Amino acid sequence: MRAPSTAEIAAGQVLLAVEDISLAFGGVKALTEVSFEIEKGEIRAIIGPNGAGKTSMLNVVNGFYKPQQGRIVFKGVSHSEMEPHEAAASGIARTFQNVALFKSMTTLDNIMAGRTLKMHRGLFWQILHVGPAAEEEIEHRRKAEEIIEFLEIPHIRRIPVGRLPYGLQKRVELGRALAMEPDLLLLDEPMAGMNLEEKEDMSRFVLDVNNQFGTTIALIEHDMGVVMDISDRVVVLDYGRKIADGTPDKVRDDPDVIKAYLGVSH
Amino acid sequence: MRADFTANADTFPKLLLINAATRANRPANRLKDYGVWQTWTWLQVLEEVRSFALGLAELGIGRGDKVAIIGGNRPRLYWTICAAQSLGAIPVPIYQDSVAEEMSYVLAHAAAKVAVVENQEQVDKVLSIAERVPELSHIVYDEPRGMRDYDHTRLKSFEDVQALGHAAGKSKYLGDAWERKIAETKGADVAVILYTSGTTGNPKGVMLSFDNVMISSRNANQFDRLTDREEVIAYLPMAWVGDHIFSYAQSYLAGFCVNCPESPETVVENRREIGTTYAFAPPRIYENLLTLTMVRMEDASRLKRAMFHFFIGVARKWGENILNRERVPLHARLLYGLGEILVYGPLKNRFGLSRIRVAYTAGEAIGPEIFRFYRALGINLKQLYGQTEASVYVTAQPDGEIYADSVGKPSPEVEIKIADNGEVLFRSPGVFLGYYKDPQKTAETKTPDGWVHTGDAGFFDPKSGHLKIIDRSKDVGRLKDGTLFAPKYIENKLKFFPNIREAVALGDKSDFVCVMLNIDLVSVGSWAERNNVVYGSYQELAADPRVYDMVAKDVDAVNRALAEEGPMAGAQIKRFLILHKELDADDGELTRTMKVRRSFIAERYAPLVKALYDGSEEVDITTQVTFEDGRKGAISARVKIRDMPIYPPAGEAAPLEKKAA
Amino acid sequence: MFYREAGQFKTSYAADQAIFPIVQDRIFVLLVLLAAYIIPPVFLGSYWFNAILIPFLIFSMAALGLNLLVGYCGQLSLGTGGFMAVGAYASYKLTTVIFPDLGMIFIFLLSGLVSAAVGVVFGLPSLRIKGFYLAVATLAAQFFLQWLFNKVPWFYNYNSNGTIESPPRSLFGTIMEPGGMLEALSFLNPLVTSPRATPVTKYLFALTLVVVFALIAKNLVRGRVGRAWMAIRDMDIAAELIGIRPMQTKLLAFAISSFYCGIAGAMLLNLYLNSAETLAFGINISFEVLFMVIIGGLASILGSFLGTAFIVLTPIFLTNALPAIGLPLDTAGQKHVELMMFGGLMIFFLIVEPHGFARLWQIAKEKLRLWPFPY
Repeated sequence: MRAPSTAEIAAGQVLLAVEDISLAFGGVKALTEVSFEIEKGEIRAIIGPNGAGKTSMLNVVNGFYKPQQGRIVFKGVSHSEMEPHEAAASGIARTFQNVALFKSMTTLDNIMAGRTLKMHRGLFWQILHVGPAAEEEIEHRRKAEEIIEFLEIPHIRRIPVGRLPYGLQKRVELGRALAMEPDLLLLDEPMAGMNLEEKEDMSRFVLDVNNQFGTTIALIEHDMGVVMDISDRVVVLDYGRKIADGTPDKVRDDPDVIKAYLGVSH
Repeated sequence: MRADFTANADTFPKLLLINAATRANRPANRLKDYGVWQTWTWLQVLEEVRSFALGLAELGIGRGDKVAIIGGNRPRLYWTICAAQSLGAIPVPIYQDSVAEEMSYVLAHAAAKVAVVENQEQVDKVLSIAERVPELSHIVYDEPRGMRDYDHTRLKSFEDVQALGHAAGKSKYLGDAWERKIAETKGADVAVILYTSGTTGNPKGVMLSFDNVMISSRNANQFDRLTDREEVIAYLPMAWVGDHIFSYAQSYLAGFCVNCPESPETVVENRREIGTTYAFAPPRIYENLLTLTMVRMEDASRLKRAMFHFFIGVARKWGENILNRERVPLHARLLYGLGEILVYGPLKNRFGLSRIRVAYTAGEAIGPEIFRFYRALGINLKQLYGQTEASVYVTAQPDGEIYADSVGKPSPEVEIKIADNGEVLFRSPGVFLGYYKDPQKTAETKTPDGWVHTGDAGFFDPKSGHLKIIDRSKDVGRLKDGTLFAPKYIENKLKFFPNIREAVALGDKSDFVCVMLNIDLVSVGSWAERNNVVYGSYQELAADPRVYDMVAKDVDAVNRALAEEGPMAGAQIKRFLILHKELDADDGELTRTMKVRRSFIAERYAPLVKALYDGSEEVDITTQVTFEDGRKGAISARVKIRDMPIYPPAGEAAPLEKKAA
Repeated sequence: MFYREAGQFKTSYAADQAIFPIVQDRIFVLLVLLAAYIIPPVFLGSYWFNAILIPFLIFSMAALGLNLLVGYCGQLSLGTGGFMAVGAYASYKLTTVIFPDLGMIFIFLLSGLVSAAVGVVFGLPSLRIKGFYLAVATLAAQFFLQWLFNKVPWFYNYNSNGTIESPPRSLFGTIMEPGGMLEALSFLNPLVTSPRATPVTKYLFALTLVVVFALIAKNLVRGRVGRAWMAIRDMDIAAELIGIRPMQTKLLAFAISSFYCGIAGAMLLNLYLNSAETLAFGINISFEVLFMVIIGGLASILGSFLGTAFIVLTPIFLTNALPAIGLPLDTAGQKHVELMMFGGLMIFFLIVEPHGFARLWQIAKEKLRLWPFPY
């Protein structure tokens, strides 16, 4: 058990509220009347059997899917639908289950791309590349380097990410999301396909991000050990419905959760 | 030449003041951090050291207190040394990879009041043993990562301490209060305590005074004509005396820049970026670099490989002569010049040694082939012999007098004598004050008139006048006629031949020297392949008479070399055999660090030893072995024994005592 | 082998992010530039300028523009010829009717802007369609523009033969000519267009334009804009997710690319052809420039030059080489052989190195840096 961080002490504030969301593709219901809250500074896990609607949930939060019903309240502002770049601008960052990096760009450029929203110099200065645009570039390079150091990847700074092993790609993707300095970080199976050591590293980074930057994190994860270790609260989905919500210990003993897991995959 | 303002300074904080005034804008430290080389000039270093020193004073550090330093090579940890010294406190660098047990011993023994450490890992280690070090009041960390949730009552970040110092500088220590503290430091004060881990027992704290460190380092700077234009990479442990002298003392004295790598994994790359001009590395680093070179070249295209080997051949033939500024024929010079463009230059560039002026190797014997390879490329690689107790320098090779198997002539102001049992003793301004809190050990090592026992046996080569180290003096034995017998010295000479993998020399209290050898299966195997020698196993190959002939040539070469070496001439190899199995750590014949366990082997192969000394031509033996899967078994063999010619000693034996000019 | 990088360390991000961070590269580029400015004017005759150097520079400009769009932003376009036509016709209308007093440098920039505006319009489909479908849409732009300039006489000032011509104009226009405001600076104001201008002047003008715009292109691609383009190219969903707006980013790429093509078109008319019809900006030009970009290397500034050099120089080389080895062919037959060999060479290069010359160059450079090691 880890000590509560200052971010957690200041918590209790709701950062994101998912209210009564329903989503269907054609006749297939992906989510049915799902509601939950994410508090500021917490690590919130979303778990459930395959096809439970976890990734759909994240896609609704960051604007890829438009729900038929319900709304998302983020930082007190209500949205019934949002474009992905609007979600990004309001402070939501995201990683993907299958890594969605810019493969031909270097690690550094991927992370720098994550800072696009923070960079404002116009075309004129970009063309000159002296003065303000160059200063801005250097200022953000420094931020990118801090992330590179934080994630312990200086040795791959100049390597196109397409050539990196999978585990490192996941780390770069986390770096790109961190570069946005998000208020809410959505991680879709950050440990998928990793070996034990890589999982431990990634868990450490997730905890450090939460601890160091106070970033609120919502993550989907299959490895129950990881979920129990690092998350503060857990939402359980099954067939698009919320079946449980609470601390890891409480959720683990919930009969519905046990049934859902036993009934589906084990 | 510019005036040496540093001549009158007798402590490092005083030197810092002078450097900050005379070299204000020259770089003093660089650290590869956040992707680029962050640079601090001498003036900036002065400011950093000042605020940290005053901060330490605020934490209660004063004259005589100990400040432990634990971590990798970081500018801030180097600044800590000077900051502590400026207050009259004593820095105690500790090996960062030492286990908690050892660390707690050193911390408690030194009674450190403050520990300045690199990062969370070190903080955790120190915290875990904190209750065993009651004097320890504060831990200061450089890297804040992961430290947010720690209890900060005894924990402070480097910046916090500097901020404390900064504030105190505005109220308590107005004007030149700090400078006055520095003025109080004297050359005779203890400058640093360096703990050396002996093979047995607890580490000993070697106390070195400012005079010790400064005179040694100043002499070394003059010896190699180092200036403030040198660039060095600091990558060896800060607790090791070598790093303290190379990366701290010599830098402060000459005013050159010390560069700290981004991480231990990027040392080679960082060295290439900086292009060091002055370097030190233990032999294994040069070995690894050479191996890597050869392995990579094996993968190169045929043409490139042929070109590479041709020019390396040219370099081996002429390179050393050119480096030593000897006369060489014009065509050789032209070929070498072409090789410089095509091979040597690019190779040195890849090594990061393009700009190297002086490179040292020390610590153990370096293979002559490896040593010559680097010299042939035009890299001024030299050997030195040093000890913590001597502030490093005992002997060093002067430019132009380089031998693969010597450690050089006595360094400036160093006197050396060889005791009757072959042990090397020295006396110099660098001789340590004593072991901290251990007068008994001090007395065992240092005689009342200042001679220090090195524990190493050696002799002066009659031809060159260079010192040669042969072995630890306790391992040196004598033949029945009283001749010195240094088994490791003979074994090393044999092992430098590629065909010989291991060697065990016998002879203590015997009539003559015999050796048992292991051939190198890779090297001899490839010879066998080239010459269509069919063999089924190591045992078969080892027994082949042609292999015996080949190895006999190597043994003969060793004998010839020994004959030239004064006191060693009497210990030539009279008989040898090639063992029927490879020595193996699983059978207890080697230690886990691959050193031969001589007495165990002599016992285990007693029939062989007996045969070596009773004059038999061959002998049968059966040996228990452990296979890789853990099963036990036995192998039997008939082992042949070869007699070797002995050469008369050349010239006179070297005088036993030799004084520096 | 020539790269001796030991000792070249960077103490600031500015130095680390320089266009040529390695000293040896900087020296090399500087030498090439010096040579480009000095050697041709001093040593070469007008054949070199008219047949080789000026066309090379003009097509380099077009290739640069197309590479920004196709190579960096990943939007396939076959409308290059059309956008060049816009630039050429714009420069014609501007010089003859709208701003007859304006210097050529300003005319070129304005023509570029007109072309950029047209580019944005025809870039709109890219918001909905990708790949081949987008290529077809840009192809439609090509045909539409060609048809437009042919059919509407306003574009060629209603003259009887339907051609546009380059009038004699100076670099900065009448303000620096006798009687103008900046008369004293007239020595800086040579005549740059029409057959009366010397080839050397035209060459130096074209060279300066290309050098400046190559630098601008490099600046764009190494900054925020370039990263946004490449992000859209590599993974548009993820790009959107980090706040890159697909519409703005793609349209900016179309605008800037068309700007370059527009200037190239204006250069083609005013510095090379002197008079032209829409035929000069046909679909074959679009394909040629696309080949330059692909053979040179997508997403590479250097590649744009290498590809252009290959496409411009190979036919000239073949023209001179075939008679030299004594092939007894008539002009038409020779032309056929040339085309066959040219096509063969292109296929060969694409098989050997599908990533273009720039990639070959990069590999060679990497080898030289690692020399003598293979890796």
